[in-house]
Amino acid sequence: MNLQLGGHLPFYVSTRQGKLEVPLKEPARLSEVLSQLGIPVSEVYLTVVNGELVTLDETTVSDSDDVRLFPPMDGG
Amino acid sequence: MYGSNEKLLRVNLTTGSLNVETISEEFYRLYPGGKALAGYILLNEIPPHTEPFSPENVLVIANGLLTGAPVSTATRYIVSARSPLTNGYGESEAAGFWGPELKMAGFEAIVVTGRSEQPVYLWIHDGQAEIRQATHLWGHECAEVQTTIRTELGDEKIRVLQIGIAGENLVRYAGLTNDLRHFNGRNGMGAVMGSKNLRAIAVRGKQRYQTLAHDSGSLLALGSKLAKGVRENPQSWDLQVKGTPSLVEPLNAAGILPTRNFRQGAFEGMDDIKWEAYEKQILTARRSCYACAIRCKREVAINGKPSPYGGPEYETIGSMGSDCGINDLQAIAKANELCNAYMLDTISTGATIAFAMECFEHGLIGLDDTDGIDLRFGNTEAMLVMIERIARRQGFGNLLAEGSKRAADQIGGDAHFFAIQVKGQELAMHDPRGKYNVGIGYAVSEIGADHLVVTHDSTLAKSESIMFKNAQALGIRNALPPRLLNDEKMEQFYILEKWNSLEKVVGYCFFGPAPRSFIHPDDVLVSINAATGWNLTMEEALQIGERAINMARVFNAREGFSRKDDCLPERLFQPLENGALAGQSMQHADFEQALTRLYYLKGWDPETTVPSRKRLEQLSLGWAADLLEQSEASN
Repeated sequence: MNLQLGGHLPFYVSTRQGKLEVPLKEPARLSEVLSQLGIPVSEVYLTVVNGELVTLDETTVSDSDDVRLFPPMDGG
Repeated sequence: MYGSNEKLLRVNLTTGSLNVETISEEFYRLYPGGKALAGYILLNEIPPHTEPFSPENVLVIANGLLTGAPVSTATRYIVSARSPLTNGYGESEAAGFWGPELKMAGFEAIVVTGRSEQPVYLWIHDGQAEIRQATHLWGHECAEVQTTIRTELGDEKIRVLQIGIAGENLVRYAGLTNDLRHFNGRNGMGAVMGSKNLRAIAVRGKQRYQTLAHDSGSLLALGSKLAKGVRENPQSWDLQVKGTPSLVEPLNAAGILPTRNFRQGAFEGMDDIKWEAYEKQILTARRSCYACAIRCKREVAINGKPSPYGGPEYETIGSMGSDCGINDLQAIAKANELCNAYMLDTISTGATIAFAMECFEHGLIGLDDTDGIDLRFGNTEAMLVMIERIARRQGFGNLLAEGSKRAADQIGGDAHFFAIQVKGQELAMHDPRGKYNVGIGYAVSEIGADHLVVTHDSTLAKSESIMFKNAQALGIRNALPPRLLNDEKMEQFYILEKWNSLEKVVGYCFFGPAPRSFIHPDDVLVSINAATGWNLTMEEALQIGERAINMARVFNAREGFSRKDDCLPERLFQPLENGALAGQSMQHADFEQALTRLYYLKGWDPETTVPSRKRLEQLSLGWAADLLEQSEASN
């Protein structure tokens, strides 16, 4: 799975890089994948899978998916 | 008194007189700098209905209580006057190094009245001030002026706050810059300064804030803790690594990246202007404001040439980029450089050009009107040429220099529908159709539409998030959806607007205190109390913020503003054309009902929006109620 982390979300991965390749042998719930990566679901505000805005809690992803996550973003 | 120089410099440019006034602690505790001090002076010293460009308009430049303290993000000062853009209470804030330097030079604020016959600048150093002639500076770009002033005064470390050519030419959204990289962009404060023939204020001081503080040990300890906290907090980490350009992609994904004059919420050229493109194409370095560990400012090179004016912030990428349908990041950086060289507000400049582009595409104006410029969305050259012409008030630029509202009056027809503004000031690059409290903030803001009035809704949308948890210290109880307007949302607005106002009073940046960023509200109180010894409570702190809002509201009430002015452009009640919120809009009935609820919470008359005497007296502003009654009696 191609995972891109926007805003402050790379803060939670050890490399602090916003682009990750996450191999998935079989479809999995996105919330569980994030939990294993150490990314708190509470900090994810927007979830975009293959260009479509989806609800994180209800989303299952597979290895071929493109997933982009964004935290709450304020002004400035 | 601790935490303050207790000194205010009064400058009368008509007579050339300079006077130092002492501020008492009793006064300062009610109006501890920034927005509060400026509001008090404006309300008491600007006669009702004063023409903004007349010598009688009063220009106040006021540090916050904490400006210059050794604490990250406590760097801000306010520039305030009656606004030539809105005709109401005007204010614009900026960070950088100039405010702290003024504090080191021995002053909390400068009050400028009158008008000089010839161009002049002020030179303030270590408690001294003098007016110097500036004929040789008039008509020059900001970088040249800064170099000339530093050279003739013989000190490279002098901090220069100045207007540009746009302010000299009274462009109604001309701003000020300090150190060429920090901007009081909004509300046309640069034009007011230009009307006084005052080009710049140079300052240099040697005093350190710690010598003023009640408990310098606690203040330094807090500053040290916060400096470490910047790297341990995800929000401030993001600001440090990416800065505000980080906002482009998520706002586009959310469907609220203002595109083609707010018609759309998603931009097909977004990949070309997002942070990753910025980092690859133009970024050269990161810079800071005084004593701030975040370092959110960007340095850039445009087509390989380093710019002396810093890099575009998100607001500029939105206004010059997506809002004008432009996906050329080099051109956006060039537009940013031009605005800063001439000192135009990038938000109002880009938004006013986007307004003109839509008028052009609808045939309300043609090539005969625009001096032959093909002013279509996406025309990069047209945008860059228009910036030049606006700053110099040349040709069609002379009309756009008036701002979108006045330009729409001249153009006529449906042009008003395309002027995306409130009280005459153009919207910042946040579409409220995806965050309703931002829309309420645009509407009720005394300075016209602005994005720093209230914490944005998405910040408080998830109850387990760090941002929401930090907001609980302010009395925020429940996480609420961004696209909701109900009584509890207005209660949150009421609290958060006061909190943001307090930041503008004491000198904190929007990127310092929680919930937006990393300084817990309790630590904000610690910093104020370490500086002053006041033992301020959260309730008292929020009241300081509310007091400042009410003075601005009374100023506007006296100028004839009422509920009809607390409105939003009709476009926001029309559906977005594309993106994640395609087909979605705000609803008139919900908006009006929310406003009524908010006025009730604020203690304001829902018909007139005038604060009640009772509420003003609760805020120790009985004198402002007297002023209002006197004004009503004389009308």
